Amino acid sequence: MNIYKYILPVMAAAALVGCSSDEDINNPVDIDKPSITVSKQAFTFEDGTRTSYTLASSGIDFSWDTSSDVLGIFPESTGNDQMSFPLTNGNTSGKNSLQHTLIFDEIGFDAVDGETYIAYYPYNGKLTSSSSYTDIPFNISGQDGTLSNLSNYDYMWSSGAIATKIEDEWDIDIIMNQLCSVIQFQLTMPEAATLQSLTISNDNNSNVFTTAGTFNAQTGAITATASSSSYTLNLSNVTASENEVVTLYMLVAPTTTGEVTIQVTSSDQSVYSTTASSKTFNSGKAYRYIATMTKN
Amino acid sequence: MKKNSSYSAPEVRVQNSKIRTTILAGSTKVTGHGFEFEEVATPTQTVSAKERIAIKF
Repeated sequence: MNIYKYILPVMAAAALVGCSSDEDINNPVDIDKPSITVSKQAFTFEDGTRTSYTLASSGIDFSWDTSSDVLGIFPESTGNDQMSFPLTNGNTSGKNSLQHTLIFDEIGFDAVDGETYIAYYPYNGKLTSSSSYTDIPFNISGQDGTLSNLSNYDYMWSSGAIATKIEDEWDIDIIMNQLCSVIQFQLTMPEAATLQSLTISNDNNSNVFTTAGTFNAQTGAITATASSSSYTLNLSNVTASENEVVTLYMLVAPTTTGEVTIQVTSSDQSVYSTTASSKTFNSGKAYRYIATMTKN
Repeated sequence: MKKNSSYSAPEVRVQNSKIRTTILAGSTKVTGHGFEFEEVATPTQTVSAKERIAIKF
């Protein structure tokens, strides 16, 4: 119970204040209506579940999870206090192959006319009142290469939506942008193998793969705290037969690489590799590497 | 001894972060996007296989 985290220290502090060494515990002093107020939000949202993705012809389809997805929203000019915005009870509208829109009628937040609201996703319940929309933490390490796993690592930002009041009703249009890009690997294996890992390495050794840091929810700009010249997917024993195409997915922060080496390692420690030319990966875009692997 | 002394305890307020969600008339529209293949209409990356020294994990 979170409430005890607040009540117990307060009670302890009150007890210490009220029992100084020169006071008789059997003859308590008169205390003039001590006022201790403990209040807590009835519900706070942790990170919740995440969006889901499916492969489509033009890209990777997106869908909100309207049972538990939550946005975090910062007002731009009225302080840094964030609000949680659950995506439940929204009406799906305008869905095409790659986007998903929810419309909320008569459900919103205490908007200020003309204010710009900056949203990010997923809501981070651990941010304090002193946190800013310019420093939202993200971490995309630990991916397993499956499509369904991508949604555990997706982050979004918005350039800001201006609240406008029309006939006593607010209208706020929030458009979320992906922070990262996706690489799809279609790798033809030269022999049967059980794959344990995939590594993409930047051959000039510069640290082009960022795996953790913070992002500005208004601009999508990233400040890296962890980056490397390579990134490894730890696979869950992906099996392939001879000449079978293995499809794997990787979320990467926007970056530009030099020539890269793509390498997979099997359970018997056999190594298969290929190379690809330099490439710029833009946020919100997906890229394919189609290659036949060569055993080293 | 300070019997019958008067003491006014300070008011203590402990509040969680200022998270708030209220109900308001109006419309909020939230749109999210997936990932568009940037090169779906063109040949994919030119990838040539060559042997490489294994990277130690």
